[in-house]
Amino acid sequence: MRRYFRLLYFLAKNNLAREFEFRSYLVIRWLTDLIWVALQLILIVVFFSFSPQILGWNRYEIFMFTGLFRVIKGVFDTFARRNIHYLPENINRGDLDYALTRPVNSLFLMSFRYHALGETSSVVSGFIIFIWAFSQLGSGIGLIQIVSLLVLIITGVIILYCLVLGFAILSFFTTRLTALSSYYEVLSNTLRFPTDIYHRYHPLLDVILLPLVFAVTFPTKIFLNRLPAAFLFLQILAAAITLFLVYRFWHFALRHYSSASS
Amino acid sequence: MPVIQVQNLKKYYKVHQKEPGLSGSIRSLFSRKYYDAKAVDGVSFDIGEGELVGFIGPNGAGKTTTLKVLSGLLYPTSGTVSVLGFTPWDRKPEFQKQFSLVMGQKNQLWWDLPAMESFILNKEIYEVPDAQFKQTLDELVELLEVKDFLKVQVRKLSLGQRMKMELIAALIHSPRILFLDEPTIGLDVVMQKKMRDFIKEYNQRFNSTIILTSHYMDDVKELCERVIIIDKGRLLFDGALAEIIKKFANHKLLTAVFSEEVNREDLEKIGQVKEFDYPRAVISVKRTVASQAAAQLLQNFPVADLNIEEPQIEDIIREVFTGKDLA
Repeated sequence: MRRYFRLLYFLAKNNLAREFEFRSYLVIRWLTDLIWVALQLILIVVFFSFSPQILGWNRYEIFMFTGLFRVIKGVFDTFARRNIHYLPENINRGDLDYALTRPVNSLFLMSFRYHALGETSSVVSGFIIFIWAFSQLGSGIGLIQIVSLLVLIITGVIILYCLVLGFAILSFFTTRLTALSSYYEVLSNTLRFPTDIYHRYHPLLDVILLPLVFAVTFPTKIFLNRLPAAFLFLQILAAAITLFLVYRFWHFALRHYSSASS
Repeated sequence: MPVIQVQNLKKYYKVHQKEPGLSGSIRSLFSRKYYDAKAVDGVSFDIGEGELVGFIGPNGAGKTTTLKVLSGLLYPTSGTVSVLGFTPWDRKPEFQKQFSLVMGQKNQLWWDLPAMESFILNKEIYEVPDAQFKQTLDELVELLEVKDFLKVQVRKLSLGQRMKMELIAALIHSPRILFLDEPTIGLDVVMQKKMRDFIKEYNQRFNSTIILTSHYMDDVKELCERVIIIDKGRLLFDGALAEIIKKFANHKLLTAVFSEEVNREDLEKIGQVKEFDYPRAVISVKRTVASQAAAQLLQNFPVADLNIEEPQIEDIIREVFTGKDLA
């Protein structure tokens, strides 16, 4: 475990050095993100100008939800998204060879090799929104809550990572998977709002959306004590099981890797 | 005790056939005919420690596929493979720390960073101790003469310099076995020569086992005492380079220089005229009758000079691959 943190540190160092080569890109990324945040917040304010509560959520709770969504998506986007995005192409072109010949877990290397530091803007703005909204609710924060918040963020990131990776692994069997980016777009657009809004339509929808509730909706609700504390363990269990399944799927799929001729 | 043992290795790919045209494409959506493409089809060989073996064959012969099985990238269809006592596709870290796969057409260096950063990352990946890292790096940098380029971004290096850096990155963990897949591809002749010198020196200095594939016969001729020839997934030859001539060349070349003009048609009676450019002619004759043909030539033609030579290895191999009659 320590070794992997160390590797992550060296990878981050290389990525940092690389991204600092393109300073202007970083600035532009941060600026566009700022505009995006502002629009999202305005949208929420407009929604709540019609009603103080929507589906049991008040304005500040939704702000917190949005903050947490941005943090979870931001962490994923910073460390893993680019790698998973290119996974189908890497499989197609035989570039997995690099990871498969190293004495390091291949999934680790393929998931966290390249980072996108521009995406950290989302993490920072998300935290600011979350903390500000939380302070507006007027409840105090203790050590236990900080620890559980960390756990909730980590498990949320794991769920999101598994949801995207699981889909991307299909490219071992299909060789081409252009649907990956639209899948991610749909996924992140669905996760932007609490999954409660879909519950009233069809039970089947609930089943389909079940894994999604663990990404942001449950973490926010658990933090807000709107779900019993036991749900924290359910959340951890869900993350562990999903990660295990995707990990097994990865190893199963590797047997289908045919590399590419030179 | 061989470090690499391959027995009856087979690797088949399922490939689907598509009829030409749009109707063929539509049909292939619903039902596909598959056939087995035999990339490697029953290959066996052993390689001992410290050997430098050349792998040759035309495109699609199965060289790279074999290397990929040996390095654990591909699961074979059948057969047994042992490399340093490990089964490669188990991908054990203890095994992976002892070999390196360099593909001339792929790079592992970080494009926008100086090569040094990639070396440091590899040091972490392979868990190379500090002292060993420094010593190996110094040695390689000196051998390849790249001291001045360590801090230059990889994208600003020439192809030759980049290939040298790729080699350093691949060797920083001092692998016992090195798989080199076309390491000189795209390099100019001077750089090719430097690469060859390095590979030879590395093999001798560190007693590492090296398998090299290349399209350039010069690479193989200069470096490898032993060659393995693969074609259509099958092993055609395994032995000393010089043995190729004995095994495959059933003809010799008579090179004659004439003092007076001669008729090409008359020469055709002796053997197949390969080149004819007065005063010089090259005639290919069957091995068994080479001396009689030479005597005939001396007797019946105004010969000023005569040489009997073995054909070039390149020519023999080319003819083996094209399936020509080797007369």
